[in-house]
Amino acid sequence: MMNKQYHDELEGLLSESADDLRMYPSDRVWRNINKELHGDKQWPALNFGAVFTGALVLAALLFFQPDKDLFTIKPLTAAQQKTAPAARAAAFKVAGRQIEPAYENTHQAIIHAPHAMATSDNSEPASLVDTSNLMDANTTAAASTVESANVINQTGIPQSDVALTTAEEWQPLSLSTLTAGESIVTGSSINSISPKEERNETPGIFPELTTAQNSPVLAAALQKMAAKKGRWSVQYYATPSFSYRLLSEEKSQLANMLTPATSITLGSMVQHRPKTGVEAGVSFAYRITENLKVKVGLQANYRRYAIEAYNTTTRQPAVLMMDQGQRVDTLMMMTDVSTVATGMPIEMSNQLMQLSAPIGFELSMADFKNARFVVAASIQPTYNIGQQSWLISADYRNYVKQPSLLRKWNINTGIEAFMQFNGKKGISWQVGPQIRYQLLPGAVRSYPVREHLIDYGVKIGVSKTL
Amino acid sequence: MCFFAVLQQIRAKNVYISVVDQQLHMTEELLIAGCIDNNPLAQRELYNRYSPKMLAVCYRFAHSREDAEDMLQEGFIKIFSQIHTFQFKGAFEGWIRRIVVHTCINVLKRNKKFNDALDIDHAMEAQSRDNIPSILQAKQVVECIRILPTGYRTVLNLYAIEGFSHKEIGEMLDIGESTSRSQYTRAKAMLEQMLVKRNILDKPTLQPDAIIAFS
Repeated sequence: MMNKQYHDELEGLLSESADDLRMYPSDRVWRNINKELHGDKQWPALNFGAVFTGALVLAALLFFQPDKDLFTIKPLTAAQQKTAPAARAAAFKVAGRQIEPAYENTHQAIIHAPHAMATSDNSEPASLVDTSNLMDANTTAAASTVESANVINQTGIPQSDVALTTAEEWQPLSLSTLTAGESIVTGSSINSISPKEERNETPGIFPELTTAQNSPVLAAALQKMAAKKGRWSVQYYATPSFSYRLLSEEKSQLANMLTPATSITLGSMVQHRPKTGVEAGVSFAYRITENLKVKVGLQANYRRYAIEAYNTTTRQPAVLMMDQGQRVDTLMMMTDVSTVATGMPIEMSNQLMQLSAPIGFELSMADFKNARFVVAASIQPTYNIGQQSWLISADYRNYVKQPSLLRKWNINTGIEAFMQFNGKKGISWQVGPQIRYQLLPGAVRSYPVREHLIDYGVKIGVSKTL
Repeated sequence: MCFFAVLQQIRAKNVYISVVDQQLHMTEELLIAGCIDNNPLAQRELYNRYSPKMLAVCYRFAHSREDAEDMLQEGFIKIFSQIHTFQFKGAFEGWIRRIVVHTCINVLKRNKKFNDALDIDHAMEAQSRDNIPSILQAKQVVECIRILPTGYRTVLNLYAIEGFSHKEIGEMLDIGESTSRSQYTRAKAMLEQMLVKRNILDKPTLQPDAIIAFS
């Protein structure tokens, strides 16, 4: 039988042992608690980036004072609406005959003319032309109008040869049938007609039609039609840039107490210089409205900046302080690179090779004759595929390399403004300044020195409508 | 200076001042008031202050460290959501501890019936293994407690360490008071064997009058 003192001793031991034990939970626990209490707000930098980008776009909007209906396709003006029926009527009044085109179908309206010519020459039944092939050959709406109108003139058929009165019935006629027709363009396709012929040929029997290409009605309709087609575009771009960094330090009270009191500051000890880097990538854009595009892409980045330091003759210990909130971990390493002038001056680089996936938008702010002014912003989840970074020690006197403290994933944000110049065949060129900012520090959270990279570059790109 | 740098410095300075201010001057009353106001900094400070001790409490009840962390998480969510009910009667740590212990019991009750036949064989087998890490005596003792079958362990924790009576334990675990007593007796006996075997506890000695009675 065991005595009471023994039992008290056992229970005392249990109680004491239980009270003495401390265990430190993983970060996951607090993250989940915080998420439960306050929602998922893990990326304040992302919020900041979004707000800043939004503010910039708003400022640009106010500065350029665009139309109120920025995001909509403009309807016809009153003057245009007034002149439209007259222009329409004039355009299709041929040889004293009023042809009533299906006004909404501009393809048919334009191609009635060559059809009419074909029928006049061959005494074949009049027919409508399926213009889809013609339209495909032309990449822009305006070009389509011009080309279609030119088809009429390019045939070179004298006015006298045209007898529209024979055209009593309208039947569909394919483009192949039309081009094969001897009486229209013998042995050649429509496209084979030389520009010279285009220039030399008189407007012929449809002077109104050739001027109709300038008709706002036709232009608007064709533009609307073309808008439905080419919503997707692909862009290739490169951005030579100057990379720099923003440094700050966030130490807990405990870490400050452990750091020797000194007047030395981080800013006074480091000597960094920007160096050239480059970004290159491809992106796909989808046009939501006339002025707004969203885009997603893949991009490779090479960023670096120079560090001026000194090579010491002997290796010396350097301490990295890891701030864990309630405790401070230290990491001691040997290094021969110092910020203090104790040896030969050397220049090193902190450089990164990154892959990122920009997701963003483009907003057209102003349209010119053949150009547009556009602002754009993007968020770029980024993975570091190669990184060489020197970290500064707790006393700011040494640089050390410690890859385990570097962040593999990061997130960047980019803002840019550019001029976009329209070329032929749906190709456009762009050039403009860009700023790219790394939202999360380059090292892990526990490393108190926060380094955010920032790139100032000029983006050059070429886009093609798909 | 770049706009980003200025913003970064302002943010860093504000956070730093706020943290220092909280850490230096935050008494328990202020801490509680901050938590009632749903202040994230106060909540974090409260969590930092009590989570190591409370995780150890959870660990004694749980099957694994992961389970213990889940219990801790659930417990602290309850603490923050019910902190306005604390009436400053008695120690705040005791209030927190009661919530955490009840959370542990609730989690265990979801998975286990305490009046079930216990897996004694498993416990005896575990008892014979000498794989308890020899770090600290406190750790060893707690590890020995954790080897006990769930029912034994829970009753032992509640009675010997948390200070609940057998009546309260019976109500908490939905078992009879006598069941609680018997489980505690068996748990203690089993634990004693383990502690003696590991030289944490001396072997019990017979009282002098008992020796005389046997002679």
